[in-house]
Amino acid sequence: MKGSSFFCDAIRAEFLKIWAMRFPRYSAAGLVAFVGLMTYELFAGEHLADHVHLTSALTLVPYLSMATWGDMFVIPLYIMGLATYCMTVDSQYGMIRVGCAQPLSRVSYIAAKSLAILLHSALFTSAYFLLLVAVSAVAGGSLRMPLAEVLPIVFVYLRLLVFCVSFAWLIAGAALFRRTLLESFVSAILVIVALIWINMMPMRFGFNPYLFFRYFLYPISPILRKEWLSDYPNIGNPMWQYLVTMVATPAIVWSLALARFIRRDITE
Amino acid sequence: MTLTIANVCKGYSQRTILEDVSLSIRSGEVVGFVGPNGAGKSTTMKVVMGLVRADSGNIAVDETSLAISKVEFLRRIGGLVDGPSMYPTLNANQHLEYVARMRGVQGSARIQEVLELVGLSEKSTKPVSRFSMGMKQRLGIAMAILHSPDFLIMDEPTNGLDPAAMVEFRELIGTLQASRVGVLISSHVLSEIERLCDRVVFIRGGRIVREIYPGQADAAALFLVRTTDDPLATTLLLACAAVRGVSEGDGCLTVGIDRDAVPEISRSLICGGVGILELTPMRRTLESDYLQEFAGAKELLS
Repeated sequence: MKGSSFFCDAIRAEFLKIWAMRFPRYSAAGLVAFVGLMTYELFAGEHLADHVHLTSALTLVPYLSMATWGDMFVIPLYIMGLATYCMTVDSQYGMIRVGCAQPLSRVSYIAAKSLAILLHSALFTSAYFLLLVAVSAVAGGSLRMPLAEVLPIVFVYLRLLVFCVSFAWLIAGAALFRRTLLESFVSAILVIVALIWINMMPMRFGFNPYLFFRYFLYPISPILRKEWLSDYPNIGNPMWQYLVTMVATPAIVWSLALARFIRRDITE
Repeated sequence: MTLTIANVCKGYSQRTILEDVSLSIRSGEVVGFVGPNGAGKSTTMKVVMGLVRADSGNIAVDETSLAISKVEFLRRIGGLVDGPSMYPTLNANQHLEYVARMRGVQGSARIQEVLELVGLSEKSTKPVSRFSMGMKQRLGIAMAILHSPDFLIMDEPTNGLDPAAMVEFRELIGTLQASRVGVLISSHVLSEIERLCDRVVFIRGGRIVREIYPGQADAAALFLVRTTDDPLATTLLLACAAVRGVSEGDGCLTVGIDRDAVPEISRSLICGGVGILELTPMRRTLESDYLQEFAGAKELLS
């Protein structure tokens, strides 16, 4: 069998292994509960129906996006949990001795594992966004989706997908430095804190267009109302800067962790 | 086919873990790897499985070297090191499916075959968190042999196995041996090692110190000697060239001598005026060899 075929088998093995764990099932249930609660809060607490005229299946999506993504860190926190758990679970339970004894290079093994985590993150993000649309359609009592509204929503979905997958890659890299679940959670939190802290870097250094968390609202910004976005950074930056930041930041952390991993002895 | 471990050294900062370890295992041969805790057994096995990088030395199956063709080498090796390790929420089937996909093993027939071989076919859908230690060991063995390796590395595989499972394990090793699989197995259950292995290698302080063949008579042997005058007998025995050592205790002497020197020491004792009440060969077991090697009685046969 060719090396590429073995690599694809390894990605499949890692993806299905994560699927067989309880994480995806519980997270699906949690996602439905979270979006449901936020919708209830918008209608019962904020009395959204008094202010917004629900005309199509997509009318509520900007409001739900802002409530569940812009004002909360729940979705990234879930992705952090998924990425740290899946990256460190092998070390935690000793299965890394089985994984690293397979006929794969360590680079291929970690790349396969990381890709499986990214695929699960993409799946979760897709489920989250589909759920926003579904809830919006149910709450609006309409299935009408005008093309003029669909295209920006698809665009937002793709930008959000990029952010979530990039964030999962970043956290997977941070977790790869560690050997236990607790350690990897701590590392992931420290990386997030460091990236938020670095946002305060003075503008004159010129790094601001490439700071990861300055793009937190960037994915959903096209469908948000202008007054919501007045204080948010990097909203109007070109797409290429966004993509460069989304690729470079996790790539640096992951590559450093990988370089350390391929040299270390598996003693756990 | 031969798995060769040649001049392997490994150390961490100032501490030497393995020092010039050399060992070879042929197809169909079962080799025991024995030594006290911290002797370097697990590290040697981890080095062979590519988990720990050796500082120097070479490990190869025939011409396929671990250092040069790691992927090809690992295809031919299966192993269970440092006890069974698995995901608590997955069941036996899911573990084997994972390993099968990673190894490129096609079809579920082989998974069923291996599950039956280790006696887990009826419990294959039960989460591993509800497995006993013995069941985890069986699953660990199943994962190690799933891809039909040429050589199998097993670190303490009999830990937690009940007597019936031990018998099954012996049968499994017999089956693998018949299929020309070479096995390196470490265990502290010396009676099992003695039964299973063609050859036993002793390791201490990261060095291979001895190699024995269970069941094969040794040129040197221990004899139990009761005499009418033990102090005088000790003096007379130590004067004989064939005597390798004498120790006193419990009203008798334990004497290490060459087997063909029994008439000579008998004559020496009688001529010296010592009456021989009993002269009995002590049955040598792997345990006695182990104790001689590691428990300070080495001088008797060295």
